[in-house]
Amino acid sequence: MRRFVRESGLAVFFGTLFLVTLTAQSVAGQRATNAERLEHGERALSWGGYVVSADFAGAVLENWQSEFLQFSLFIVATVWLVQRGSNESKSLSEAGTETDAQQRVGAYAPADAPRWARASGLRRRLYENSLLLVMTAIFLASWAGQSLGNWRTYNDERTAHDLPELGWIGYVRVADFWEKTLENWQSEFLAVGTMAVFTIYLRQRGSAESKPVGTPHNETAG
Amino acid sequence: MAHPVRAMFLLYVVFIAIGLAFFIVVGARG
Repeated sequence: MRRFVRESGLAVFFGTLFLVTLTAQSVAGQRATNAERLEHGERALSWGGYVVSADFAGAVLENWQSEFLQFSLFIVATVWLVQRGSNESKSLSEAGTETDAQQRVGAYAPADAPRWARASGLRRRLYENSLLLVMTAIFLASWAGQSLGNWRTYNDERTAHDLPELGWIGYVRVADFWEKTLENWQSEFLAVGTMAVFTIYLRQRGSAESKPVGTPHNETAG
Repeated sequence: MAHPVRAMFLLYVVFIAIGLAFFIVVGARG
């Protein structure tokens, strides 16, 4: 057990933090929602009631989608774009999808390579892009989910103000949806750009997210 | 690949799939 936790330290640490903060979000969200409901003379929601509300679903997924978009773009952009001196970049000469030999696929795959890395055709195409495909699929699914949750919440508010409900297609064209989407995107892009640039000059001794401390600034991690 | 590492990978996959399905259904249902 101790060995398992040590070997999966990152997964255990971030998985635990995720569960704790998601729970805390649900408690804070329930209180915030109930404060508003009481102001409008509505009945308070139980914690369970809030967890299965469109409000909570929209709030959770609007953050999920932006995180998965961030990583999807980071994965695909770092294939072709480089940043001289950055820990987050390949060396300048490696820009692009690289040769089969560099990627150790097909005839260049070692005996213990993943089976689909040794294959050819569609299977290898899929496996070569599997990280990007899965991360993008999660982004799209959570963005769609966000739109549904936000749409229901938006209509609840319209109903409360005696306004007619909007269809989903109508909702994804209103400013409310795009504000909730873009407020998350902008912060992700700033953070990724900052990591790409800051790791040229700044260091964290021992971190996989940093170049070794004594590495010259102009040396790209690659 | 060590077995526990694969288990952790699958745990993340299952968690995300269940989470997505749950929140999408909840969002759609209102």
